Amino acid sequence: MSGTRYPDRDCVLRAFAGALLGALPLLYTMEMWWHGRTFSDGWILALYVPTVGVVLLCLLFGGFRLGVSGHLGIDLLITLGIGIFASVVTLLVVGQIAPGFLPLSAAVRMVAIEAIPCAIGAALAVTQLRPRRLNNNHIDRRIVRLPQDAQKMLATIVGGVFFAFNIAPTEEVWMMTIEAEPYHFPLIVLFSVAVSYGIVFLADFAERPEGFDQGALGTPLAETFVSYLISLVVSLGFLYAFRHVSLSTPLHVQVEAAVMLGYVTTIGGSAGRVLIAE
Amino acid sequence: MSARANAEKPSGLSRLTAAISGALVAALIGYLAIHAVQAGDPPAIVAEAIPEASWTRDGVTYLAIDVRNEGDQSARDVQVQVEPEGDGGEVRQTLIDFLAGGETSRIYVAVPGPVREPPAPNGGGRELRVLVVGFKES
Repeated sequence: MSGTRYPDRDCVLRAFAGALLGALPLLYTMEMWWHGRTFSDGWILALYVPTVGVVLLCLLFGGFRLGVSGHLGIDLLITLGIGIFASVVTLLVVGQIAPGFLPLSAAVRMVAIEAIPCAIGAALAVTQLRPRRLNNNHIDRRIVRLPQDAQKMLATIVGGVFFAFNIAPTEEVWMMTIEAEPYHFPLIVLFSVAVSYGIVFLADFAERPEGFDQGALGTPLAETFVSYLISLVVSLGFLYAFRHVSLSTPLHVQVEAAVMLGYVTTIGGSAGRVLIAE
Repeated sequence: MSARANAEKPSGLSRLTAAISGALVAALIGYLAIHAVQAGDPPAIVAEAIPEASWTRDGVTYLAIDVRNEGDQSARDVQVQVEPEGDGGEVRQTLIDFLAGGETSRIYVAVPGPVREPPAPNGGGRELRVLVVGFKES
């Protein structure tokens, strides 16, 4: 039994709510509007490639609907569509896009870039914010077919992307990197790793899944350090995506910026491992 | 048919939502893709004083200037300068953070006294030139 009379309607409404809950700060972030106005169409299209991957991961982690889902394509489409809808409606309502206010091409780019976090928020909401009374045994979670190591790494990516997206588009990351003294960066690394370890292994947020101590990442230290490295790679990806760094940026500056953003990404990745992969 | 079997099939609402979502995604991706393959003209910034939108108060003229990007690509840090014709007089500069292709932004430059660009109502005042100094590629 689903415990609800309209499970699909509820999923769609939950996805819309999740799009707003997850992305509202970014819908109100000036830098996101600027990126929408200045990024090329091709660049924004390219950003949709990892976006589809992350949304798919969210759906695979939690399952969109009850029962055995053979309709991942439909669920992916619904999630992306709800993300676009949430982006259009919010930008229209708050007056950031309007006829005559912006050229159509700029408005479309703004909608497209804002729809990315909306879609990720929608995907996480339908899979993670479902009512507790529902029996999770009836929900298809294909991700559990993967080895524990793969689950942990994918959960780190999903959680890291969700958290880092709220910070990465802003100018603050770059400003903080430039203003930080050299001794700050090793401190940030140590603190990031310590906080990650504390969230996952000490804070007792959620039961870890059965067999979490198996595989190459079976020990707390291995899981913590590998997840931190994944978080740094995700951070670097964000820095390139939002053009804070480029290939011409000196390597040490790229690393420093990744460490700065990596603090946020690591915390997100830790949350992903305790909440998504439970 | 059991409840479990029913739950496995997307409902009519799911199919409708998927169809609308598919149309939205296709429209968005299609629009971006078409614009991505078209090279598009580089930024071409034009600045024009708008007399009817300007006004003078307490000896200061608030000169309205429409700055328009007639190209397809976006420009950053567009620098606009207002300077008196001939020698002498104070040069005023202002900066527009972003100007997308086709976008127009109206700015106001405060200039002491009446000006002739736009023509002052009495024909008096100084002549001013509005120039686009430069911009950054976005």
